[in-house]
Amino acid sequence: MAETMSFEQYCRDVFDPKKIFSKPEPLKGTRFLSCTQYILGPSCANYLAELGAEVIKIELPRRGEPMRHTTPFNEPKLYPLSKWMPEMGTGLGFFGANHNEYFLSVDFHKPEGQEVVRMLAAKSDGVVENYRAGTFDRWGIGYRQLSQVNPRIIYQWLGGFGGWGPGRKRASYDILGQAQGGCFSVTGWPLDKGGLPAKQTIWIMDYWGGMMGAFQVLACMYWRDNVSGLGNFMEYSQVQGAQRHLSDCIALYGRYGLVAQRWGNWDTLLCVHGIIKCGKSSYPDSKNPQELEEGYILVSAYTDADYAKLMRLIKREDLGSKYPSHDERIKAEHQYEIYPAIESWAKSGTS
Amino acid sequence: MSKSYPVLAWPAVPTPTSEEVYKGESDKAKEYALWLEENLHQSKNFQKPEALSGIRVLDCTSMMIIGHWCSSLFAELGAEVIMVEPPGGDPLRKLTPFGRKEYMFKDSTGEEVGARFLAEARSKQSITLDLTKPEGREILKKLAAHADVLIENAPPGQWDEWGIGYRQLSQSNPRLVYCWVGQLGQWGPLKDKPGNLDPTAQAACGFVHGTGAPVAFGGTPTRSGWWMCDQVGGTGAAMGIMTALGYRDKVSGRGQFVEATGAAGVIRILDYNWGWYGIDGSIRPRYGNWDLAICIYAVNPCKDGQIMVGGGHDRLWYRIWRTAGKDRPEVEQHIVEDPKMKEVTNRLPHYAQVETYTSLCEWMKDTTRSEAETKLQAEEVASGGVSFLDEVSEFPHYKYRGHLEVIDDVLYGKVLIGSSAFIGQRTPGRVKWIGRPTGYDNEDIYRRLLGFSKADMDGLKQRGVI
Repeated sequence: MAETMSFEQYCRDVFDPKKIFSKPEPLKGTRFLSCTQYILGPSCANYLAELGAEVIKIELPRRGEPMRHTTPFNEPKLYPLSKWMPEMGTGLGFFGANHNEYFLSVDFHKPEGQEVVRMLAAKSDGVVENYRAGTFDRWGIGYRQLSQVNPRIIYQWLGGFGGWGPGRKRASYDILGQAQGGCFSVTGWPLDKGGLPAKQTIWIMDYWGGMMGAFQVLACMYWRDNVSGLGNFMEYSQVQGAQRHLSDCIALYGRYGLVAQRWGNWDTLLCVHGIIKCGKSSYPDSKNPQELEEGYILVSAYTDADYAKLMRLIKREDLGSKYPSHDERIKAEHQYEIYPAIESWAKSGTS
Repeated sequence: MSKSYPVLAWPAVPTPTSEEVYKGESDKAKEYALWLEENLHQSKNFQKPEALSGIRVLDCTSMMIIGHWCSSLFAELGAEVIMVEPPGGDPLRKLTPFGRKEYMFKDSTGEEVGARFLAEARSKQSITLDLTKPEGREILKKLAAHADVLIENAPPGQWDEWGIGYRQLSQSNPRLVYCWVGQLGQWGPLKDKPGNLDPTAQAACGFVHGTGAPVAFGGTPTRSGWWMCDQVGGTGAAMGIMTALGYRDKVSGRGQFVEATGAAGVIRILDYNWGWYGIDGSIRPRYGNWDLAICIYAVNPCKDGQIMVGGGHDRLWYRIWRTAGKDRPEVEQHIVEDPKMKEVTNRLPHYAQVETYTSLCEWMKDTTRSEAETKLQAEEVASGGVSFLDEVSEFPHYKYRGHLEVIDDVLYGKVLIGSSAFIGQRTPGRVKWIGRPTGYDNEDIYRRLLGFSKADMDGLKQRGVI
C-alpha cells in the first residue's frame, strides 16, 4: 500500500497530525523534574514533555513562577481563567513552555521541601533547573547532592552567563543574550538606514536555548542507557549560544579583523534574496490597522536564470544585462541598485 | 582608499587568569564556581568520552544551513558525520559576504571556502557523490546501509522518485533514521514554492512581521540578521533524530522517517502569538526593542550605542531607578512618585512603557554602555551593551570560559570559532577539526565502508560520479 502511494500522499499519511495519538510516545517511561521559571528552563523541559516524558514542574507555593503573571500589555482578557485561578487567570506567556506537564508546589527554602525534591529525584531520570548558579547547591538539591541519591540523574542547568568565570554572578534574560552575545549587532538596519538594531520578536535565545538543552539531555540519556549507566551534569549558557550561532562572523573577525554589521532585510550571501516593500495592503478592508499597512514580500531570485526572469518581469532588462553573474549582483553597492528597482516596480502591487 | 591596519592575533587583550577572576573571594564563596570549573572546563574535554561516538550520520544536504547545523550538533557530541556533496562541492562553500573572495578561507590544497559553510563543517568528513546519476544512487544505497542517520534536503519527493527515499532505504536498512529538512515541508500547498531558503520561512511564519519597530515609530518588518530559521529548524531536527535513535535502541529496534522545517520550528517558539490570535483575533504587533509583556525589559539608546536593561519585578524596578537617581535624582523621583507606576502590572500598557523608557533614556543619554552597565550591575540588575562582534570576541567572560576557541587546523591554519555550546561533566561537546575540502575523505570512506579499490575509484571519478 505504502509502496504504491504517491510520495505526497505517503507523507500526508505518515505525518498526519490526526494520527499522532494513535502512535507511541518515544520518551514514555522517563521522568523529569522541571525546577524552572521564565522560558529558557521551562521550554527545555517542555520539549521533553512533548516527546512523551513525564515532566513534573515544581514551583514555589502560592505565586508560582513569574510567567504565570506575564501577558501582553497586561490586558485582563489575556489571562485565561481556570478552576485553579478563578480570579487572576494565567498569563499567556506561560502557555508556550509548560504544556503536558504535572504541577507541584514545593518551597525549596524549607528543609522539608528540599527533602521532597531529593525523594522525587531518586525516582527521576533527570532534572532541568534554571535558578541562579549555585542556589540549588546551597539548598542541598543541586547535582552534587542529587547524584548521591541517584547516580543516573541527568542534570541540565541553563542560564545566562554560566556558573563560573568573571561574569558568573550576572543575571541574564533573553534579550541580554541577544544584546551581549552579538545577535543585535547583525540584526536590524545599517547606518545609512537609521542604524537601529532590532531584537528578534520572540524570546529566541530562551526558546532556542531550551532546544539546545533538550538535545543535550537526549544525547546524555542515550549515552547513559546504551553505554555507561551514568548520569551527567550539563551547563547551557545563553550567551554562549549566541556565539555558537555567529560562529561564521567570529571566524571572519579572527582571521581578517572584520566586524559584521547589520544589513537590514537583504542578504549578505545571496542576491536577489531579500524582503521588499509593496505599495498596497493585501487586506484593504481589514478592521485591524496592522493589516491596512503596505505589505512586504520576500523575493528570491539569486540564480542567473531566475534573476534574468525577474528583471524582465519588472522591465529592467538593463539591470539584468548589467549584472548577469551572481558575483556582480552580490556586491553591496549593486544591491543598492537592484532592490530599489524591484521596490519601485512593486509600488503598485500587494504582497 | 581606506588605510589598512594589521589584524591582531586573537585575543588582542589577554584572557583573565583564574587568580584575577576569583581574587578577594572567600573559599566558601568561590567553592561552587571552582567545582564547576574542575568538572566542566573545556581544557579537559579530550580526556572525556563522547556521548554519540559510534553513531554514523550522512549529511546529504546542500545550499542550506538547516541540515549542516543539525549535523554539526551531532558532530560536536561525537557522532561520525559524513557530508555527501555533489562533485564540485556544496554550492554553499562558495558563498562569502558580498562576494568578497579575499575573505574566504584557503586550505592547504588551495581550495577556498566561505566562512558560513566552514563554521558548520566542524568535525565532519567530506565525500562527493553525484546523485543525479543512477550509479551515484546505487552507491548512496550502499552507504545508507552503514548509517544510523541520513539527512537530506532535496526538493520534496525527489529522492523517492530516484529510488533512494525513506520508503526504499528503510527496506535495506530498517534501523535507519531518515530526516528531511527544509523550509516549508514535503507536503502541503507550498511544498514546491521556488526559492525555499531561509528567510523564506522567517517571512512565512510571522517572525519577520513581528521583528522591528512599529510603523508609528518609523519601523518596518525586519528579518533576522542570520539564517535564524535554519538554526532553529535544524536544532528541532536534531531533537527529532536523537529521540528516534533513543526509541530505536531502547524500544522498537526500527528507525523512522522524520521531517523538520524552519517554519514549523519557529512557529513552535512564537509563544503567545497564537493564543492571543485565538482569543480575540489580534495580530501580535511589532514592538521594536521593547517587550509586550515585561517592563523594564528592553534595549534603548545611550550615549555610545544601545544598551539592554531588564527588571520585570518590583525589587529590580526600584534598583534601576535608584541607580538612575544617583546621577539624575529628578528622574528617579518622577517615576517613583508616579501613582500610575506603583504596581508591576500597571507598567505594561503602552503609555506606561513610553513613560518608563523616556525617563530611562533621559538618564542613559549621557551615559556610555560600560558606565551604565557598571552602575546597574553594582545593583545586580541585568544589563549589557549591544556588542559588536569584535567586542563579543574579546569579552573577558567569554574568553575565560572558552566560548570562542582557535582551532589550529592542519588544513586551514588557525581559525577562530564559536565553540560547542554543549558544556558537560562527563560527555562535553567539542570541535576536533574545522572542516575538510570537497571530497577530501573519498578515499577513506569509500574504501573503509564499501571496499572500493583504486581502480573502482578511478573509474567513478572518470565517469563523474564522485
